[in-house]
Amino acid sequence: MDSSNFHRPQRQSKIGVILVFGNSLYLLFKNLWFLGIYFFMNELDSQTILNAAIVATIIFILALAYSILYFSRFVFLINPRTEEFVLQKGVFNSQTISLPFNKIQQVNLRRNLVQRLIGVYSVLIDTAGSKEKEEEIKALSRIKAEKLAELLISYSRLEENIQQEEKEEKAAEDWHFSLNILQLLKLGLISNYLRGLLLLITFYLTLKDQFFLNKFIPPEFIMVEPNLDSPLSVWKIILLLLAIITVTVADTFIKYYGLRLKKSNSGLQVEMGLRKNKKVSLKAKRVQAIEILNNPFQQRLNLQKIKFFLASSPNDPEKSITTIPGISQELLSKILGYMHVNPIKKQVTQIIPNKLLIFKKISAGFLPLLLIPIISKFYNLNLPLKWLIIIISVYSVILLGYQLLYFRSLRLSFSEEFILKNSGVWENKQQYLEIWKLQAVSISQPLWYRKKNLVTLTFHSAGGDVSFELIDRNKAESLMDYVLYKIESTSRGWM
Amino acid sequence: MTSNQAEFENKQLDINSLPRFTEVEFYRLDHKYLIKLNIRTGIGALVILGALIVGYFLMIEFKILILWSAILFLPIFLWLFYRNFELQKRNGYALRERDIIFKRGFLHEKITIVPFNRVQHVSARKDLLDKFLGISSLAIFSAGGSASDITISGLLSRNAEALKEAISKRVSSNG
Repeated sequence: MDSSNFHRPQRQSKIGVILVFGNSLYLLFKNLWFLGIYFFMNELDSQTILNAAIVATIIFILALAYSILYFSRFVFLINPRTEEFVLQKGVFNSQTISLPFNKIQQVNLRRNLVQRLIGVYSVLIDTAGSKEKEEEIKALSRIKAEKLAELLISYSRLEENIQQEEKEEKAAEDWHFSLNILQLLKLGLISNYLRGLLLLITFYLTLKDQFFLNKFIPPEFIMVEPNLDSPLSVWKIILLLLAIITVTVADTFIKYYGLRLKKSNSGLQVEMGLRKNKKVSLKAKRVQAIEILNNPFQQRLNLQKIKFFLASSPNDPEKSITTIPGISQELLSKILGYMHVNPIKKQVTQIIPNKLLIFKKISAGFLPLLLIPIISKFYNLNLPLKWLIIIISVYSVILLGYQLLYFRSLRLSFSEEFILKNSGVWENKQQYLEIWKLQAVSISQPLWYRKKNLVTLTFHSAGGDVSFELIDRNKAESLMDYVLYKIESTSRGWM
Repeated sequence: MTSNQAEFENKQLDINSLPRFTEVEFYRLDHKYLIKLNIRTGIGALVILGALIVGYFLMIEFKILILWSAILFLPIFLWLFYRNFELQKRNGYALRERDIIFKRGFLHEKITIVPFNRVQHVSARKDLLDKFLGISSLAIFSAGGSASDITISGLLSRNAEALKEAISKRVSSNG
């Protein structure tokens, strides 16, 4: 088969109409099956049955017409001039999709049972876009499908990349690190107990649901929710706390047991997990964003947490974020060194948000208080005024203190190559973005900040967005100019 | 960074000499976009009006409530029509050599800039109203997540095609 055939608009194999028709019948059936049941359940006179049959036939014919139209409007071609793969489809809403060759990540052939029966193949074309990341051509003969896949792969130069990666795999080890049991135990003890509590509650509820706990076990043994009438004994609370701690530690062990980091010249390999052993290869080139988290405990024990964000791929979204706990300061600088993150010393710019942000956050924080009158009305609670005043003032003090601390922790720093956002009251969060790898930038501004000239600046990376609220518009704009200059002046691939 | 050290340069950059995106002039959307928005809002208004009228005659006991909600809906729809007008006036796009800038929103204005060397793909599409009016939407996708995707609606169909071609060309030459 000649490759230039694909330079003119192509349709799918004619037999593909069956596939489209089958699919639309399936959809119709899925949405309308209950009508059938309705007809079965009721005794109907012949007139109604006749009408129903006529309607069914009309729907059938319409579906067939739709399928044929859909089939004939579904065309694709390879445009060597613009270096794109172009796909046109749609009956009522027509859509033209162009996939530039160099954005194609993967081309796969696939066939399901129906396709096997009628002897056609699906060609799946995968790009790294956010939406519509996969295009499927559902019915091609084997020769055509293979030819198309081969052409697309050769045009998109995927093979070179694959070979290159294989070469990189055989590499010597530079250094490695593994987490021992004691460190793991410490980690478990200082991690967030809220998660443990939630796990415990879920566990309890599942058990209760599955075995009807109340029936088999005398009620004395069941942990009851704190009841105002019978004060909780100290022992019960201690028991509960112990249970939470055990669950949290167990959870940490399950997630991070056998954590091993290996750095070789092909990148950073991470391995961890008791139940599911997770293996990830982190190449500096592919990492889109880095987060470093530590709370005062973690800082003191020198067990910080680092998170890597890779470009999220539709195939395994789970692998796109990798969390590694228990990292010492020394190791952290080694890892960051590999990721090319130089400690940001000489900032080109450092930005803090406008003080209005405190006001904005605090007023947003007061909104939940509006629920109090609604809830008390709804449940007919008669809260004494004294209690109300105490609750509200305690809440306000906490809110005020928290938001002030939060505001003070917010900082956006720029070095030549990196953006660093600091935030967090208890847990300090540092988010690093490599500027030239960013995908897009946005600023947004509500009408009421127009006079104050304040905007929210958002950096869109392939591993997630980072926003910075309420900064001076002129500053934000010159930062955007700088970021765009960095992105547009590089010819390196971002992944 | 070791491999890059040989070719490493560190000239001071004059931030003020960088090209400024604020200096661009935005293209406005076609006036048919306003028609489209108004038709949409109009349909919404008609549906609610119909429901209210039906309710008024069928549910006698709620008559007063329905009258009040009609009074409430009036300013909402007036506002929506006004907003359509503002949207058509304010939304706009600008093409530079290396990126596309899109500005949209009235109460909440947002400007997104996508460099061409980060564009994943471009697609032009029409819904039923678009076909009727001869306009198209142009969607530009990057790998930066849905918040960074741009959909410029209300372009004349031939402009949308031309724009798509132009962007595609730049995407391939920049990528």
